[in-house]
Amino acid sequence: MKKIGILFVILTLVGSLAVIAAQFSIYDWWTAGGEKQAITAELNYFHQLYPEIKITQNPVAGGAGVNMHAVIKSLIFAGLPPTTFQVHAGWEMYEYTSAKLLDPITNLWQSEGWTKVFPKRIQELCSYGGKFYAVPMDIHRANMLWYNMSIFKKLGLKVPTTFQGLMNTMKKIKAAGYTPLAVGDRYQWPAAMVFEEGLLAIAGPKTYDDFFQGKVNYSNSKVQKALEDFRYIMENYVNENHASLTWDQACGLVANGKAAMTIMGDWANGYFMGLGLKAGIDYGAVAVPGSQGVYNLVIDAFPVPKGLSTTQKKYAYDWLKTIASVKGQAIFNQIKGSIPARIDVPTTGFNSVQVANMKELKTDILVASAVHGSEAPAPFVTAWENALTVVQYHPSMSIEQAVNYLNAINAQYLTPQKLVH
Amino acid sequence: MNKRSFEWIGFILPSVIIVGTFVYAFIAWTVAVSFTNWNTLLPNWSFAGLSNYFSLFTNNLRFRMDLINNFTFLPFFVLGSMVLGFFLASLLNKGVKFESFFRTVFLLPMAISLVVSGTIWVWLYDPTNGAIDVLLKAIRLPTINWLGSMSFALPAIIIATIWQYTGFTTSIYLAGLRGIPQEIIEAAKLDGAHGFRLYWNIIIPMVQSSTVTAFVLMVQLSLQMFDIIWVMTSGGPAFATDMPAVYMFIAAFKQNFVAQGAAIAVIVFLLTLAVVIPYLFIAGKITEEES
Repeated sequence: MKKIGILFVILTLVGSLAVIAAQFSIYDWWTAGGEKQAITAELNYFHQLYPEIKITQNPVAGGAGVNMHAVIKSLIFAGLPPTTFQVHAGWEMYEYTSAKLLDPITNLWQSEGWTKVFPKRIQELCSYGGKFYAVPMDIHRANMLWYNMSIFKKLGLKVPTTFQGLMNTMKKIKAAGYTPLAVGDRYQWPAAMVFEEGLLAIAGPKTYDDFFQGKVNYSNSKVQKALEDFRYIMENYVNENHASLTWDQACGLVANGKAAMTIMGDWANGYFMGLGLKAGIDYGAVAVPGSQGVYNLVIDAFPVPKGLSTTQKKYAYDWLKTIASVKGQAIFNQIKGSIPARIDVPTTGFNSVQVANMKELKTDILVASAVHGSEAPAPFVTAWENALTVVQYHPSMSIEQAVNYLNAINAQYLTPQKLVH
Repeated sequence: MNKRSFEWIGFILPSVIIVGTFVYAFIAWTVAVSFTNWNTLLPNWSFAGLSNYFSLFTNNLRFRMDLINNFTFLPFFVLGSMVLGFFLASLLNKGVKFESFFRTVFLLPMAISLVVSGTIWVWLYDPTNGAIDVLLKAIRLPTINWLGSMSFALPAIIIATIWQYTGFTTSIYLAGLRGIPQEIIEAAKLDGAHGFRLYWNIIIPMVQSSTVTAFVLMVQLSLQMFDIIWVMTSGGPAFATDMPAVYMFIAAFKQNFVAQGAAIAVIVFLLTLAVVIPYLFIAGKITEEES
């Protein structure tokens, strides 16, 4: 580990030099297929608008930015912040704002009239203590079910509308010899999503919010039902090799007809499109059955760190104006598979899944995803995801034991003083 | 003092400064952090005493499992790579044809990054179309869900790491074997020592210094095992392959429990010292005896 420490310092130093030399330095974790093309297209558009700005893109691979945030923190502490960086709005951003590492951009929000075009809940997640700190680039929806249309046709299945209906459908699919639900939880979060979206579908948005605010726990009958279904699904309905796969490989099982469905955010849309598959013909997508009318948000946003020079700050503002513009939001999201955070972007150029989601964003109840760092603090999310794997891999654990074990984790991390932000 | 004594100071000083700063100063810094309340994003230098250590040892399922896993992993990995390394080195030392080719083949895994070999092993272990389970199926043995099972995930990682590091122990032992004067072997053979007896009574004692070196390096590696686990399982399923180094990374960089992460690092450091310090004594003794 000493080696890693040293490497870290060296990388930080090299990184800092790069920051000093570059004019506009941006950090993101978009390195997989689809998302990489999307950020490249957006940066090209930015370059067209501001050809004088020299862009340095610093992608740091690693699911949900665990590695990137480590780099960003060290850069900011070293007094060499990047011009801007990717962050999930909500708790992940609060981590920075509560440490006073970001500059408020309320003036920009007001002068650009953004308060009129972004939904209220999204504005709340981008602000802290009454001030705005970030601009949303896209909206992802976490509570989505993706299914292989030809398998559904072959088995004569209808898309279920309740979570219990989903359980029954999975039973039928299994009997027909297919894997009902593809999961790739080599990094634990995709399994945690199965629980999170199940919770949202079974318990509803109010209990969902209460759960992550520490007001109810697994002793609540609906939460407990979600837990039981989660354990049952993971034991009976998922691909045998789920622990070896990543989320995109699990989507691959749906794409090549080995599995019938998967629960994943709509970055899966970008993945399927990247394979050349057609929404509505090859694959279908709906809100996770039982959670219709609820939009579980994952918001990629960009803030302005403290300590930027005047020029760099101007460049950061230019970038934020670009990504918040109608055209900027369209260019990025059409490729990424997500939808614009603005509600006034025309639907032309988006696929059927995106068009449906754009419509629903305007009418749905909006909640935020805990797995993706918006709904709950990071220390809790890590401990919670790991605790879920413990009850998942110990089927002998009775439901009472599981509830007690998980309640203890919630009690440790979701206390009122730990939820102050 | 003559001029020469100043010369060596000049040669040694740069590395002393660099090692002092980047190794020892950072170790001291880590120890200092582990005694603070820095369990947030921003540094918090208030003194916490031993509370970060206490919380790890009292009410922490994950750390307890980490230690159990690490000390289960250690003997299998260390013995496995050393026995296999000695065996391969002995074969190479017989003067086989294409020796340098085989030496390269055995050493090659060492040259591959742990991230790459970890990814390859994930493919090999895949229960639906991985090479290992295809093989098991072909010889009509039951297939195993290696990385997805609580009981097989750790053995799977042990096998992968032994594969990675055996080439290293092979080269250490090969150097040791090459260092044995041929006359001693001849004399032993004349005295009637052959096969197993020759190895047990003559060769193994003669490569003692290689054994000590390999042992210490392998123990130290297994206490700090991180990359391959991060790539293959990231500590899962349900902590079955979690190790202190993985937990340290998660605690410090994902959960922002910087002081707790530092405490784990210090514990790993102390465990490593517990192996390295006796080594320095033993190695010193062997060198004395040999000279």
